[in-house]
Amino acid sequence: MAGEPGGAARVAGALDVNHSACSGCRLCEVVCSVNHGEGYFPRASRIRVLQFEAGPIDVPVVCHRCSDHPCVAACPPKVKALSIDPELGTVRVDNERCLGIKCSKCARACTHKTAVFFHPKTGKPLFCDLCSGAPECAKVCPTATLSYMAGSAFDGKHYAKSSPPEIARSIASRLSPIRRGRRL
Amino acid sequence: MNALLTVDLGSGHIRNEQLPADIVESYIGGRGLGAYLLWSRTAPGMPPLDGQNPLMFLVGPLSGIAPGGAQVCLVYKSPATGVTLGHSLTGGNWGPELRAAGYLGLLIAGKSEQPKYLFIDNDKVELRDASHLWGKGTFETEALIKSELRDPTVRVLSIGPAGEKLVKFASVQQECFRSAARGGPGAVMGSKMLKAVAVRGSGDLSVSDPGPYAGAFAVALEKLANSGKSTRRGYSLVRWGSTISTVPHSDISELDVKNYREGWWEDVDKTGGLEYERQCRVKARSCFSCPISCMQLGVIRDGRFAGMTVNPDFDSTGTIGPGCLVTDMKGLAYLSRLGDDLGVDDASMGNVTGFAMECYEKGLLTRADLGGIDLRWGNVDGMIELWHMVVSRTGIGNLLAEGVKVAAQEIGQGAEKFAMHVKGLEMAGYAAQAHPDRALQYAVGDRGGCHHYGLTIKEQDDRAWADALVVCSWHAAFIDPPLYLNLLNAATGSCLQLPDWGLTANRMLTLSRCYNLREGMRPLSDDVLPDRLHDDALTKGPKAGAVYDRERFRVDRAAWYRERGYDEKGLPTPELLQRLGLGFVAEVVEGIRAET
Repeated sequence: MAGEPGGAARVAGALDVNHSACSGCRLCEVVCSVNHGEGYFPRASRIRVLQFEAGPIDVPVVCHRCSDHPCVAACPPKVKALSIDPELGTVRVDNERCLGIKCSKCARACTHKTAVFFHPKTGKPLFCDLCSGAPECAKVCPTATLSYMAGSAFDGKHYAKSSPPEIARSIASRLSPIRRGRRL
Repeated sequence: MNALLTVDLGSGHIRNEQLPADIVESYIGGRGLGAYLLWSRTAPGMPPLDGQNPLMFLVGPLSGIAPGGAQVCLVYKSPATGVTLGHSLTGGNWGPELRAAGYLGLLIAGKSEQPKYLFIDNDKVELRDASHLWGKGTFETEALIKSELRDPTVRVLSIGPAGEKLVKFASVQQECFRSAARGGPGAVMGSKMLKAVAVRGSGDLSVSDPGPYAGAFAVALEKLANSGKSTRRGYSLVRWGSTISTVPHSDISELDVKNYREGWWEDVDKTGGLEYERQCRVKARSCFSCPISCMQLGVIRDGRFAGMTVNPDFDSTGTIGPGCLVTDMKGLAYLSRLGDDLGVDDASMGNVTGFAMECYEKGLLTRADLGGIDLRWGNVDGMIELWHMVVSRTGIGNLLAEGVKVAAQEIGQGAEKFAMHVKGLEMAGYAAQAHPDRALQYAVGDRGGCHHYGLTIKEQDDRAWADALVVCSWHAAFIDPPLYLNLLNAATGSCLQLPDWGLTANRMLTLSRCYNLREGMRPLSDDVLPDRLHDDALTKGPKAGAVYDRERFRVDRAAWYRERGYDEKGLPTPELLQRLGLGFVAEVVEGIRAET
């Protein structure tokens, strides 16, 4: 809608990540891969939980649909494999045109170079598509780390400002117990 | 999907074989399959630490695809007992990664001349130099391997200096605090000069019937996700993790207090799960695909261990805390972490330490014997110093590294009466004078003084299955056998029914017992308990006066033999062996029956 953050793209909702609650169970990876027809294939998930520090500290990493889409801008003009879904604001990949991991320009353009993953078999980039508006990962997350907001409060790019290692370090230095979320 | 990868460290030969379908159907995977492979691929009397002991890392048909399908089961001949199979479980993420690499199991044969680590990158298998890692703790080892492989997503199992020095209760560690420990698998790995096994699995896992499987998956996941509301046990796991367990077990006089002299402790709150939450806990962590997140990651905030990340659980605090009368919460949390980094089984290490403390108290070990350590009860500094001696096999550490059974035999003077082991495996955090079922479990368990075996026939069967599928055995409290069979049948296309559950479990457990018999275990003389449980009545708490009468024990043991289908000597009957499809062990068992 005009006037909303994100400019022309109408953003249906946003995947919120409450990082400090993540327990590293990776159920998000499991249901994402299953829901996209990959079978039980966490490495082909569009959300990945990375580990840092002693502990380890678990940090979910997923595309937050930055309004300026640096990934789309980085795709070579002759390739033009990436576009933005006008309803959801998610990144769409034309796998026929995409050069895959050999190119990786989209992945390198992503802030902190973290949120673009490559399919282990096809080598094509994987972007969160919000499961067309009802993300499975948010439904399954047992600790309320992931939740889906209808309507975005702010530009997703703000999520990308802290790198996953920085997030991990801030969690590691936390002194008080973390609220456990909706399950208790 | 029944691939067994065999790597011979001596010859460098690598083999990827498909296990016969009927074997996998009969023994499922994990612990059950391990018992079969140990029986069929080793000669009787093999020394556990001479390098020929096959160290197996086994997953199962639900690994990587079921809620809680995170575990890997290490199976080997136990260095702790010398006469039994050993099995050690760890959760985390390693097991699913091995399965995604395309394997049901990994078998390490032979030994290397130089320190190596194994890197399994899907179908590529590489033996890499580990001389720069040898001597390092498990935390640093895992970090360095991930760094030099330039991939933080590989999963690593590693040993620390304890395994390298063949400490009889050395562990294999993962993600710092996850531990495959009981029985000493780290020593087996160390005897092979194998520092670590790293694995990357980039394959997908599919199921036979995706629709029904997804339905069963959703039901199982919901049961686990609701475990915090459905049972007391579930609530405890979600809320506090297993560090809380010292508290309820003290309430019923079932806690190892002062080397199992008591079962109830007036100071349990000093180091129980509630105190851990107050002082250290930061956040909960989970194994792969489990919503319960029972692990409680913490930080020591001040004092001389300030800044250390910790993650204790019951097994790493029971024998170390109350068992050694440690009242210092931060010290206990640090010791739990130290054990993981050095790569020892915290349960055994605490048991051995408590034993040494009692020897010191009684004058059987002097300060000079202990290298100058004033090993009074609760002395955390003394424990730290002692542990470094054990792991480096210095002074008295060399004897203690052999385990409490050998240490007591050497020290003599009545020490064997309070050496709390069965068959050479140290007991864990439960004292059993007041709890016959707990005591019987220690006595008859297939890997020695084990607290995981199961208190009843049903629990033993359910755990045998969990350790074969391989899923977290705690989930049996929330997911019943019919649901596991639904998952299994939809995953593999099998048609198992409920009667198959008990039959298959008894097959796996009885084969383990027969392996032990083959290696020299004799039930009437080895399914026994230390004198303390029969002679040293509890003096404090709600069960003061309780002791496990010897005659009562013999009656209970005989009843368990009967329930399992064993005769009065504890040997499986020929009829049972036939019914379980274990005819191939009958000759060995008959030979034993004839001798006694």
